Amino acid sequence: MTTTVIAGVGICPFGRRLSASHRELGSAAAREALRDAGIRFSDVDQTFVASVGGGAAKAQNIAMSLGAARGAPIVSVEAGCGSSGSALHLGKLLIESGAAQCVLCVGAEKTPAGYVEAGYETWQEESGLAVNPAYFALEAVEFMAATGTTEADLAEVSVKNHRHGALNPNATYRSAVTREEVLASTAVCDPLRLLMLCSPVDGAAAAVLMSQEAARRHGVTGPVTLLAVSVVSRIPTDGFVPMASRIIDGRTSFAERAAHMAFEEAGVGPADLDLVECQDVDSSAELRAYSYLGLCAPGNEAALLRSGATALGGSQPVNPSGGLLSKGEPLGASGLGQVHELVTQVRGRAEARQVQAARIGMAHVFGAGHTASGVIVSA
Amino acid sequence: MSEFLHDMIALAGHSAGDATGDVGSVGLRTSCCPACQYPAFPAEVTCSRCGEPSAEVILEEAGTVLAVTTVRHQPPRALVEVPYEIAMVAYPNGLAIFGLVSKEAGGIGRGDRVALAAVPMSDGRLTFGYRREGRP
Repeated sequence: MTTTVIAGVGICPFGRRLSASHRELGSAAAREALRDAGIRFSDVDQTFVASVGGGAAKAQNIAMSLGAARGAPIVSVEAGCGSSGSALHLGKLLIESGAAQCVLCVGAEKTPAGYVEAGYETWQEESGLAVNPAYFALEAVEFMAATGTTEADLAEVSVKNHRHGALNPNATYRSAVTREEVLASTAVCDPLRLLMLCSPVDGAAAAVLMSQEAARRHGVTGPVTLLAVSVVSRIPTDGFVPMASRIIDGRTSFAERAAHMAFEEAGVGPADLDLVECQDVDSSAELRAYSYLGLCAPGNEAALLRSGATALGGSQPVNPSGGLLSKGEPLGASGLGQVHELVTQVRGRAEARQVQAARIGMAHVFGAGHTASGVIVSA
Repeated sequence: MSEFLHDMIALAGHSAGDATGDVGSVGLRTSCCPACQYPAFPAEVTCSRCGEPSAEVILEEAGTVLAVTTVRHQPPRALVEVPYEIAMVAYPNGLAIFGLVSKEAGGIGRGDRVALAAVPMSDGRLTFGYRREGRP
């Protein structure tokens, strides 16, 4: 079967980019990815733009500002936090089917400040139930009760990721924080405090996918192999946000299924991962991802954190980019931002936050919406 | 007689449109699939698990609190004022349902027993929530 490689990546630093339009953010990241791959937009057979907002013709507006258009298809992809993964999934399928040799995937987002609109019903909004952090908090309370995880552990996730993010020029928040500062930050939804929650921000990231043969033809240097992209939609027994109810027993996890499917497709396991970028939409979400991804057994998440294994310098650093807690979350662009970090790391170009001997990395998203995704790359 | 926010809320023992009694006792329109016993709230017409027609079941009984959190920043379009609490409550039908904690039930925690209650909103309509069991 045709192997898909990532020939180039680009990113437009995340943050409150009030003066930049959706089109400007997306096209800046896309131009960088095309330049990194050493190609022009006219070499692209298909473009996917992952975005939750952005209005009509958002994908076309971004792509048409890249120059050298030849009329190849341009398609918008929206799947909440799984938008980027969905775009990559489609791109990989096209290449492996032989329908395309070169696919441009762009994630671009302008995310308003405040609570993220997550598809709630009117009765939930009017009843005061349309509050994403409240559901994250209720999950955290249950998780803490089941595993013995403490508020200090939640704070330590934030401390770790902000320490990493301070080394990342593409992160929104580039200051280290102390445990005391996290625990003293504004209470949002108990037990979650402001510094334990990611912020919605603006940003964009892009990747150029190619068949291995096309990469050779274009003279791409140092292509990164895209081993797997899984996309999983929710089934009724999965918990998700926004929800009015969920079942108690027999609950399943689309986040876990997405991870397993990615491992199966890639032919690697959790122990093979040199680094992970996961969806730390709040501190407890990162800890839950540890067991979803098989980094530890359920119940041992806090112990894994306390061991230092998931910090830079540890055996399996998680969110060396600073994660969403430090980078912020531009919804549709978030997953491609993770992939940008994986590629930067396995190429050995992450400078101060470089994971030593990084060869295999995994990105994983789950959360608001109905889609989870896993991406595994290899140098 | 106050108006309910949505017809998923029913007076206990009454159907929608018969809302003429004491609003202190409310029920929720849930469903249970006769074919696979999958429960849902809000009620489903077609079972989301097996695809067979589901059947309405009015939930009136008490539940057990699994988790509580406090919302401290006003959400847009909400007709309740911060700070307020949201609880996840487990029921014998196998569902955990998310709802407001009535002001009178403040301070409830994991393991406490709660009953369904009508909770007033700022426009005079009622939504559902939780009160301590045995204290209408």
